[in-house]
Amino acid sequence: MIKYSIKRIFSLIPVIFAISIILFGLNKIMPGDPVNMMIPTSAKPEQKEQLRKEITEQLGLDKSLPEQYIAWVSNVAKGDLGYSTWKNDDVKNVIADPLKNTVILNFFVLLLALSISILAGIRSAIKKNSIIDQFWQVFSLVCMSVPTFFIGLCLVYIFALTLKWLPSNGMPADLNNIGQWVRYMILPVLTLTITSLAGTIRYVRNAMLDALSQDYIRTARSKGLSEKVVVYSHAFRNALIPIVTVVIAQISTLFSGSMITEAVFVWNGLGQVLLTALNRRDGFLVIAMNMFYAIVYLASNFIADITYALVDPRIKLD
Amino acid sequence: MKLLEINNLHTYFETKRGLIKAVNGVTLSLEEGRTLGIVGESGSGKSQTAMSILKLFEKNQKIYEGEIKFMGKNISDSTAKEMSHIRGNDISMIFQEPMTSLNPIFTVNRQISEVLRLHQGMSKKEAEEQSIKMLESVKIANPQRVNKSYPFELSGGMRQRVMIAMALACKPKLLIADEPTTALDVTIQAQILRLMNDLKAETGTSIIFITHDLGVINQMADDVAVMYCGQVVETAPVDKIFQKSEYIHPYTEGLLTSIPRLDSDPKKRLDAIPGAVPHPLNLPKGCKFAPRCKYATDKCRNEEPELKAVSPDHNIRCFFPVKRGDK
Repeated sequence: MIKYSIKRIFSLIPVIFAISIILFGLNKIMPGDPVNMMIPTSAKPEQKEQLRKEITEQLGLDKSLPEQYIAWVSNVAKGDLGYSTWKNDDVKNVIADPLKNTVILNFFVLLLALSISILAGIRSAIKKNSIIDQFWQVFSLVCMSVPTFFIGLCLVYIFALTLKWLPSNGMPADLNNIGQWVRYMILPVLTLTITSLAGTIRYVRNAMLDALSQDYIRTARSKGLSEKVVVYSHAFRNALIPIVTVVIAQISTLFSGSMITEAVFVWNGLGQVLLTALNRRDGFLVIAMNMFYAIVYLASNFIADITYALVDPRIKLD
Repeated sequence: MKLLEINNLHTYFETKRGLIKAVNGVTLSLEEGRTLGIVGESGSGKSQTAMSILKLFEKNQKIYEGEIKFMGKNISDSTAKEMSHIRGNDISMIFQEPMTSLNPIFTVNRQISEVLRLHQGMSKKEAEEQSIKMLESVKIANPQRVNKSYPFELSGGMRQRVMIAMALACKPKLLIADEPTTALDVTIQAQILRLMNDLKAETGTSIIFITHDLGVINQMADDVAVMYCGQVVETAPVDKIFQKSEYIHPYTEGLLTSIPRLDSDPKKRLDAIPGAVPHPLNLPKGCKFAPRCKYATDKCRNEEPELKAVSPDHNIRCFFPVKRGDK
């Protein structure tokens, strides 16, 4: 398995290079000119020409595309992700805080969504067609059909406007105050949890139903094992194999953030940064973020492969 | 002594379209140390009779009437806790599908140890040693290696041996084998049958052997119960069924004549019982076999016969049992 892992990691390197070339190329094809965005509108026409030339040279945009690409890659290798034309700062500094905010937010979402959907999914499967099962079925159908922003707005209406328990949006003013963090995080976390619950509950329920209907469950019962052992050890361990797929897919959303929810709650996360960066034609920022997503995606696929082998002995990696 | 006595057992499924009477008044008994073969077509209720003994039920299934006496004690109304003490310990079961009856993601060791630790309170290490011993006793060539294997690494015959080892791990008084060789090819089937007979001779475990194959019954059983539509239609010692009795149930006769033989005339059509098992929601009035019986009279179509003794150890549920030799 270790040998396989090392082989896989090395095989990712050319993939990452290929992605970086494609992203770099796409970014250059993208209409719009970042330099235009940087010239103050107050500048006089003759000054504008002068400024444009200076900025273009400063950013290295006058060189040929391969030269630009090589310069960028060698900078990235040194840990310099480029310069953000929007914030007039290093991309690294621009991303740091939003990345942290997004990861914190989505970490709790993942934790909550997973534990609720696994518990509720198993219960629904055991008590198939009971009231609990039907509740979760309707719940997930409704939440899957209603757009995220609407769920967010409903929660804001109930908890912020009517009950006045929680702030409707924004970030904590004092970043070191945990109480404030919690107060500001509850609504966006709840919104995202509800959305991601909808699908995973059904998934867990069906995986469990499938496992519970297998012959080996009858064998386990015929051995005198208690219902608890039958369900949580024999059935759930088997149901875990398809569930892993969904869980791993959610890891990448942990980092990508949710543009819509972040917009509703004015949460300073990666989704917001990417949106603005695109609108401002902030090339280096866009490439850096897309590269980051690509790597997270590759990594989670890699983790999925390894996890499959861990939960299912029939899968041999070599 | 009677190890198991089933009296007038009724096990029904409750469905939207009505009650399905899978087991509809079964009366059976099994002497200690003997093998009872239960034969019948698919849907005759033989598996459901076995499931009823261990109460391995679907959610919509339960015993409506009757009793199951195991070692003199009625177990038909036992609680889940009492049942889990009996299952795998006093009564074990092996199933038809060795390919799917073992949990694919646990090792053989884990699956055999589980019963030993649960019922005998063994430590992990003791259970592992005992598990290897059990694999040896079912004549698996390399018990240490197989003990560490996963089911997918074993062949069908090997898996059924593992199932038998698991079922016999706690030295049960009764082993229920539900078509254990149906999914195996003939040579493996012969090996498994021989193994079961050897183990029975060694341990004295009684066996209920369910099959639709009369050839297998002939090899395995001491006594035979023939089932049709959730009822027992004939019970007798095995030799009486196959040749020695004066009378026989028309259904049993039909089963016997429909066995293909190697020495029969290849140009002659195989005998078969006409028609099919009636749908459980639409059972005929009177004798359940009457619609397919070539000897049926009006009485058969309107009244239901009881299981009656034609000789001390031979019971037939028929008004007009067929006399052997006067066909």
